Amino acid sequence: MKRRFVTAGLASIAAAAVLTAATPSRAQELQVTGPLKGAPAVRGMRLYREGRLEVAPTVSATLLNQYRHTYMVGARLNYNIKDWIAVGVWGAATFLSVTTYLTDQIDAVAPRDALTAINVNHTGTDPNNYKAAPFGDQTAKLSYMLAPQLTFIPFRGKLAIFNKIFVDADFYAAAGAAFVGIQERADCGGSGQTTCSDPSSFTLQSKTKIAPTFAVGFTFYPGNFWSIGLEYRATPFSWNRGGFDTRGSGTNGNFPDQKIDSQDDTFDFNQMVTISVGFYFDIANKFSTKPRISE
Amino acid sequence: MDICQITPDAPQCAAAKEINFGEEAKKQVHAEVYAVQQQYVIKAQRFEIMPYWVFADLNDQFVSHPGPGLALNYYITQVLAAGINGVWYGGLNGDSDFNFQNRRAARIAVPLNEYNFSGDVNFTYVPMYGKFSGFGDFIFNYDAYILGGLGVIQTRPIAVIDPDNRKFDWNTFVNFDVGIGFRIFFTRWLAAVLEIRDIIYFDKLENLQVANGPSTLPSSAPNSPLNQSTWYDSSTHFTNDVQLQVGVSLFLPTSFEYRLPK
Repeated sequence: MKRRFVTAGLASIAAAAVLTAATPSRAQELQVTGPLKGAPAVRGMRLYREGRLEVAPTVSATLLNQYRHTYMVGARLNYNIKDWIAVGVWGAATFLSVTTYLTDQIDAVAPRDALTAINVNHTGTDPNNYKAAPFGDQTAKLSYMLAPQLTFIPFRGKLAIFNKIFVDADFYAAAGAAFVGIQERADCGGSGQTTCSDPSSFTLQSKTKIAPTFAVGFTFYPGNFWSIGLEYRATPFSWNRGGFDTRGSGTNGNFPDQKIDSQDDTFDFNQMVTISVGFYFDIANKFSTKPRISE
Repeated sequence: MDICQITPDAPQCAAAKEINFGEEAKKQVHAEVYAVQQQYVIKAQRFEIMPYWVFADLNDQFVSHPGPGLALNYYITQVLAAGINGVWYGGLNGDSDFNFQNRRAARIAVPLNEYNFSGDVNFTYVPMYGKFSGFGDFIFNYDAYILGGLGVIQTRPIAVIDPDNRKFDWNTFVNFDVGIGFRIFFTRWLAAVLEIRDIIYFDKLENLQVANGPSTLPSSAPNSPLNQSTWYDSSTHFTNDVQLQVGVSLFLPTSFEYRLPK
């Protein structure tokens, strides 16, 4: 009797094992019903942003540069009203502006004669005896950017790296108005202005452009108090980056008019990438560095 | 009111009297709950079909090279795939207006190249995955991958130095490619993909010098501008074409089974 019971038990276990092995769980969409229906996706979540002031030093580099590569240092100051919205400002100033290979080639190869007198930097006043002057000196530069902006943080989650490192992260989109300080070749050739073939006309003049600015980025939170950010930004506006006379006369104004003015500005998205390190303080809680916790 | 005050004879209440909660709390816990418990998508032993569009060059302000592409990958393991991909650029290259303005203003021409197609054999490695909560309301999963491989690219110069005499044929070069991608899953078999890929190769550019003979010379003459051996720059040029690609990813079969229950 006892032997038969043991045999039956072993057979049951074996059958259960076979059945279990033969019916692995299948993937399926989870249709939540009952008390969990309508519940928030995450409970007890660390709110890295809500109520916190973010101070983030930044380093930026411009993309798709025609005549100059620009590198900027700055900072982002955000007050995160909620975990999903922040108001703040980003500002940066150029610390390095270097000429591109194209600029160097124009400088080295472009003829200095009557045909290029308006467009390529030179010294002297005799068209048959112009001397080369640095072309890079006439190319426009970004000086600074200041962008008050609203930031929306629609996505918040986590990231596993090599199944060993787990970091919280969020994705954000920012939009605002940018005040952009540039140095651009001054207007010339108009009434009362220097003629554009005059060497003195190649000097740069400081200007401020106001343009929309858009950014998207990821923020990674290795700790409660700090983050690492990666951002793409575009600030579309028109400017005369080469200091050339390209438009103003002829059909649709598509031909040079011997003047440098706003008609010679060309549109550019002025793209850049930025990396940042952010530090967070809960200003309503004695500048605590601890994040709040959601319900 | 505590449940054990109502039914003190319940088995769990009797057992609770024998447990020292202080001692229990000090015990080492072998947690079986992991930070990411079960991956949303099992990729191992599945095929990935990825149509995409190259819609921007991140480092070529002279000529844009958009085009449709297709990648086919087979995931050998959950994190490693082998595959092929190709892009057709023919007829879609865009010579920027900036080039013309530059030539007219500075009397200097920049050698320009256009692409016909590229194709590569790649290995893809997926070291990162995770999930995002959208608006605190829904959850979607994503992963990030790196890839590298070897292939060919076909290019040719756009004649700008001597367009009257030079008509270039396509040249095929060996290229290396490396990339990084980001994939957002809508379902367990459909995802959106954003990828940055650098195609690295040595390109042949148009010769900045034009042979000084008249074009009436036979094309075999060394100083004839029609002599094709004078059309190319004597050295090859190391080239990086960094592309931004957007596409969708389809995993087949569309369903899969987890090895372990949830």
